Amino acid sequence: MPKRRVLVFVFLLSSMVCSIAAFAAAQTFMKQFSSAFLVNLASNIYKAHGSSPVWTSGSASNPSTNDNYYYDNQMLCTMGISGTTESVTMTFSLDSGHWLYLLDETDLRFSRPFGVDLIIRGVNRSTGSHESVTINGNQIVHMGLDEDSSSVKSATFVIPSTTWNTYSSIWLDVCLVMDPVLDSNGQVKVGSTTYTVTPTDDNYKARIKVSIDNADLAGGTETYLIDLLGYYTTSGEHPGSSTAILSVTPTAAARSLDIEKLKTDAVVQTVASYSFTTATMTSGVNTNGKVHFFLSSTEGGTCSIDDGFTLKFTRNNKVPSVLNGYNSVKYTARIVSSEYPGQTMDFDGNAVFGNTDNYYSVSADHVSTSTGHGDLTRWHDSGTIEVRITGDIDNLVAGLYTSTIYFHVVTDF
Amino acid sequence: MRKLPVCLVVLLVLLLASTASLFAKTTHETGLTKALELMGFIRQYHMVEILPIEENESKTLGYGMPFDIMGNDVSYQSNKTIGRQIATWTIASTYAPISIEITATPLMNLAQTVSIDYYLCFRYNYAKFNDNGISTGSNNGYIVVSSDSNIASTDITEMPLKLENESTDGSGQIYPIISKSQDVRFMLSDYSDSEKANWPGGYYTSTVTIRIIGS
Repeated sequence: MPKRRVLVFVFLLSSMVCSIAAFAAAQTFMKQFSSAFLVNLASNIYKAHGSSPVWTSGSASNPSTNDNYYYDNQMLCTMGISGTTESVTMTFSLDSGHWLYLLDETDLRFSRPFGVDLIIRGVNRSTGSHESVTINGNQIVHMGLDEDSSSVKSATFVIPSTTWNTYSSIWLDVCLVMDPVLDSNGQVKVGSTTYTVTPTDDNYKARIKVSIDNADLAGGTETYLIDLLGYYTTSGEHPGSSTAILSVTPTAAARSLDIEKLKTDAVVQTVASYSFTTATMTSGVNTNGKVHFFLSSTEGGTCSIDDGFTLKFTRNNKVPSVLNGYNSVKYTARIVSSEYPGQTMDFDGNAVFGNTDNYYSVSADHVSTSTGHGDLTRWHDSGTIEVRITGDIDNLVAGLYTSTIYFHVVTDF
Repeated sequence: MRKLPVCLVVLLVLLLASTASLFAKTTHETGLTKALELMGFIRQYHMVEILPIEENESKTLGYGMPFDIMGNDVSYQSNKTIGRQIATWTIASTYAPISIEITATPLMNLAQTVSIDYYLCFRYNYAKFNDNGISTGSNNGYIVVSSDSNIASTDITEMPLKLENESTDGSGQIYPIISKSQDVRFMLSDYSDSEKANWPGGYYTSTVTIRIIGS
């Protein structure tokens, strides 16, 4: 009898676990492809796709417009949702308000219009197979580029609740579209507007924000950020990372610090926002590994110098070779995470690579899915950088003071 | 005596474990490093400077000087704020508002026999603030200059130009101007191909002057 009681208890416990699993909240997921991270804005492989696109292994090499095949090296990401029977609204918007790669968000002279093709895919409930999904008569939705990019702030894609009668999971394979291609002068005409890019060793940026609204999601909404980087050089080459993006964007205040006011009023000044993400990895990584950040006053981040973070008197783009209380003042910088609330770390500029005590660290974001994309692991964070003046300012001579904060990333996975 | 082998085994296991953990982790400085430049000021001062860019030796960058005046990247376009970047300039003052004047002489060949007119575009970009001294964005603009003083066009910026930085909330508070390392771009005036074909080969030079004339 005692054994039977135990078996009954185990059965009841199993039933409860199954019930909990059956009523689990909806799950969203996003896998960002490495080809999204740094693209040649003059490339001719990002053509628009036809009405019934089919994924194909290999790589695109100058496919024609309306080609019905798409490849991993055209894809920005795949994102989707499962575990729901309610309708889903996905809203795509651009941080800058424009479907443009921009060199500088405050300078619209140099930009490259782009768009995305959303190719709809799903898992069939009956067969378990991965197949193209038709919603409102379409297997693909085009956004950006072919619309007036100056007026389109956001676009939505809706998965009706009836779709879940047939499919257990729906996702979008999101392909980059830059069609037509740039001419030899770095210009492209879309509608009546001519867009121009200029050669630079800096990157062009864009950030797509995707809000997924669904009644079965915890909180009702999930948000993903798709960071894009592009380059334009006369040689067509660029030495950049293809598996991670680090973006550090200064605030306007970073260019005009009233040193006396910051010190006297003990003001904490936000000088930049940052964001970091890796490509999503499916295997071969230590999911317990971490990504570390540190701020230093040296570009190499490998040697300690006594100056640390110091604003230095600057004339004709030169700083003094000998620093003193008349020509320099020390400050500290702080990383403040917005994705991991309460996470902060202070730096004095002397942090070096290898000294783990001086690292600000983030863990992996690990998601299991049953969509055929496997388990998804990526590291990401975003937030702000703040500075505080700590040195004495009483004897500083009038003039312009400059300093550079270097934001370093160390991977450990 | 029997304890010794056990200890050795334990030590060996510990040693192996520590070795395994040493090789399990791979730490990399990724090379993903971004520079964040800060600019601050102590009142009171003015400064203005222009720094030419030299094109690098491999000539792959596509900007800087010297450049080919027959090249597409410096040919005339209706949008005079683009063109080839040839320099950066900085203007900073705690005496805002300030008035500046920029003038340019035509390009001349060394024999002084040919004069070629052009446009320059100076971008400015400085922080603006509200009454509480909180940054509220940027003041951006373009100063378009022609080397032809006789040209009349709404595209050309009228000189002198006043740069100001009043608080955005209306208190009348005046904030400093720091516009550092913004681009200077070059574009030829609207010459036909047949006119260009008559230009003799060789170096052409010109002078650009930026003056702060009042505050």
